Amino acid sequence: MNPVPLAALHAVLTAAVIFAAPRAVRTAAWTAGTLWVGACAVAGLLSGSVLGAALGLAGALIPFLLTKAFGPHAWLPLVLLLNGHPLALLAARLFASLPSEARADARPKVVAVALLAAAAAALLAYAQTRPRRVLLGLIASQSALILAGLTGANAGAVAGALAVWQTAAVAVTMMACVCAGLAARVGPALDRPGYLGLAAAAPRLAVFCLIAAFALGDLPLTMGFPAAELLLRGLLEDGLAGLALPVIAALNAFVALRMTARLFWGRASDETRDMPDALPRERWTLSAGLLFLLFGGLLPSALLP
Amino acid sequence: MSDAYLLAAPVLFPGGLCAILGGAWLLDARPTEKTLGRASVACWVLAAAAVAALVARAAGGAVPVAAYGDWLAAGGQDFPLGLRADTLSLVMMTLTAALVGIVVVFSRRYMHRDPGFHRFFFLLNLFGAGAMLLFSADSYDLIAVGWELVCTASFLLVAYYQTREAPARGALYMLAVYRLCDVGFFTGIALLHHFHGTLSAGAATAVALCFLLTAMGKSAQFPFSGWLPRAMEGPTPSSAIFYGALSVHAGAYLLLRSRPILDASPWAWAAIVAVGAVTAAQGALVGRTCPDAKTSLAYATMTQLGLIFVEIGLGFDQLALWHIAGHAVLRTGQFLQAPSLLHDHHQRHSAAGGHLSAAGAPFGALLPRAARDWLYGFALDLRGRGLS
Repeated sequence: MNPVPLAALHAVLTAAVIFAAPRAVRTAAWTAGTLWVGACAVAGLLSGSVLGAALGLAGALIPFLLTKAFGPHAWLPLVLLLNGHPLALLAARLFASLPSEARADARPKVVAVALLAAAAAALLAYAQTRPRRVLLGLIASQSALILAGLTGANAGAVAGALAVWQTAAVAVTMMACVCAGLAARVGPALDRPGYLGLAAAAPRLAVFCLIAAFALGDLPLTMGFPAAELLLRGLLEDGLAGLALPVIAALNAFVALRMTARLFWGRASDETRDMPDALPRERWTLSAGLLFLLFGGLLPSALLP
Repeated sequence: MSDAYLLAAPVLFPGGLCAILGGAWLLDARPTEKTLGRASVACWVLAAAAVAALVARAAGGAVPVAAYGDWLAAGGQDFPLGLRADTLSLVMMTLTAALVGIVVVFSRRYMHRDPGFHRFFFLLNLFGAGAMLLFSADSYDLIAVGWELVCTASFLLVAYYQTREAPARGALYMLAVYRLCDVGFFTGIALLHHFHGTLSAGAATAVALCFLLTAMGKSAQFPFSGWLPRAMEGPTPSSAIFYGALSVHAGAYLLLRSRPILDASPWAWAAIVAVGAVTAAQGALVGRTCPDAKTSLAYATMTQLGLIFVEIGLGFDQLALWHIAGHAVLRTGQFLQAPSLLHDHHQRHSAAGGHLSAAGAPFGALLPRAARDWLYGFALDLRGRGLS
């Protein structure tokens, strides 16, 4: 197949998903938005564009997850399932099984589309105010970054992707645990817009969430920094598309830290003032994650491949 | 003692204290205010002694340099750790040791019995370690580590009074500007790696403009200056050390450190001069509309930073370095004095027999009344729109 129309089709489908998914999420037109991205998926399948179909399906899945599966109940198991990034691994495995010439031709496009998807997911997370939706956007963004690295042509990109994988899995799980713990304490008040001021009652949970947000934002002293550094250098060896990575990382950092700030800063309401801080079981579990992220940030060679 | 130990000491002493405080927090232990204050003072005395020893070595003619091997080696990529203390580094390290030490001593009393005393000292020491690393780093990668540590500590200290919404909003605004501008830093570093250090004129211009974007964010240059007045929500000692002395000058330091790249790009020179001149004018105008001491000082800082950028753009590196040093010391003193400013002013007013005139008033009188009114309205409008 001629690569030019294929690349154009990819671009159109990606743009459609980028524009349709956030609109579907932000407005009340759930059905229309889902139908629109679903149509993109069908168009991708009919045109033989596997990547377009996958992106379209992902676009259709996001509104579904946000409305149904990421509802107020029982969302932690789903976070843990998605946070293993199995789809990124599956896509990378499929890509690796292609003939070497086809792989070499498709690689820049796959990396570019993955980076676009990462940026789109970060924008999606930026548009959200509810913690669980923010987390879903962050998971999707990190997953796309992992895919970009795993399909890279050099060992640096693959090592970077594996490091991002470890960091994101631990950091997002920590944030999800903190949010689930807070949801159990304050109930629907967690989704209230504005600053909730929960640090007054739960300073330890605030610190755990903050360190995890630093790791997701690729800040130094956490494992996120060497992971992003490796991924950036690896992607740049394949081309300048990797220059999008600092922008995506900046957006992810802002989104993660803004979520933490909204949860923990500000004036506490009467109903949240007396809630308990991290219980011993939560505390030691989260401490293990925190030590992993800090140890990986200080001595990354001990943990990275 | 070898150069390697002397160069590492100013980073490791405050960094080690942060690690001890973090470990104590995990184990639910809490040192007393007196213990923490004394430990912090001891750290900075030792850091200052190490810097003094480095200055003595450098006075002998040799630039102290140390390599500590690879911090990270994976997937064919490496990240060498190296520190150096050339003239530029030594001036900034000396300033850091002296000013952070002074602020630590000042804060022991100023923050006494504050509920966040431990958090404040943890972040102050984290900032000190980051600043020392930033100013002594031998590579851009390592500068980025120090840079981000300074950014992180700034963000958390602006939001120090976290039960109020204004500091939280100010910290998030500052974070957004920092992250946006840091994109330039990481892009510039990535380009340097991509071109393996051999830059064409076009590539040098691209890297220089990336670094300029970064410096503009950190040094509150137009149009990224809006975070500086908002950052005054933090405690006064942290405002003094961050936004009067060290953090805001990090952008100018980055440009001075990147002189070989700037020299290859005349466009970058012009851009630096233009940005600096606009910021200086903006700071001077808008500063006159501020009703409170700390915000006025923030705009005065902005004006001086603009002038420093102009000096760097015109190639007066030595002048810029002296300007940074003098400005940092003066502004730290002014910020630390800000809480008792009215009291001091009244004392001076009385001592002068009631004849103190407003600063800059004779120059303002040179303009016609209508022009003065228009300029005042324009500056108020700029501030009201959040552009500065």
